[in-house]
Amino acid sequence: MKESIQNKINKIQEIALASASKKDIEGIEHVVETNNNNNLIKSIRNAKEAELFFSELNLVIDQAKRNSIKNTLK
Amino acid sequence: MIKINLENTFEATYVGVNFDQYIFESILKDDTIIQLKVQFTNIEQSLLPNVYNLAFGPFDTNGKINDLINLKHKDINKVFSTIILFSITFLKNNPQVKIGIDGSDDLRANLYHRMFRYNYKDLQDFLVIIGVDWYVRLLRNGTIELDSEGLAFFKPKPELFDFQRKNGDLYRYYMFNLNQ
Repeated sequence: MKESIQNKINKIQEIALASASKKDIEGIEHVVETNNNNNLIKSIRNAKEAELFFSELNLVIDQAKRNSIKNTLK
Repeated sequence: MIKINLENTFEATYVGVNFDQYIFESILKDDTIIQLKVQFTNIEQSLLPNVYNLAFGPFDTNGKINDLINLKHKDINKVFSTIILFSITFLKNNPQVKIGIDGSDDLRANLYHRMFRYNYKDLQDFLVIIGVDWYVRLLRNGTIELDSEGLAFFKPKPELFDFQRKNGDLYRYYMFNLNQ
């Protein structure tokens, strides 16, 4: 990862530490967001289907990573 | 077209301790400064515990994200670059999870699609992008698989994001993961 991007991520991590003391004051983390419209979650009916989906997803992610390495080497 | 440039992002004014919440300020075309919240949320008791939904938008009156509003940002590239940077940060701190985006409407889904499509060369150093379509199974007897209510039973199938796929042919769901 480029150093400049890593520096930005480090800065975000510093902000997270500083934010920890403000969260109770601002009540930010008490607001619960819902995902009732999430199509993916709604369409997985049981653990078996979830397992199948994850195995397919991991295969595709591995393939994408391999393709990315190939593209970098080209 | 949205151009992602991770060197040009807004600074967060707040970051959740688990790196799942971020607040930053953007400037709208009418010079209004608006607070935007980015949140990665898992669903309680979900069968997909490692999939976190990405939502972002201004606060509504209840302090929740209004992800239906369409704002005219002065620098939309910077807004999306910021969201991508926060996503990378979230994934680096939670390497077991994947991020999912369910466009709240076609407009937003189209925006995500174009963003991934036009920036994949730059983004592939950081992220792998996956599209999810839904398919129904054709049974040997020539009928299709039905659900308990007798309706076509569609199953999600993840695939490599096809960067040749036109903007009018949206995926139903988008996912991404760290490329490392």
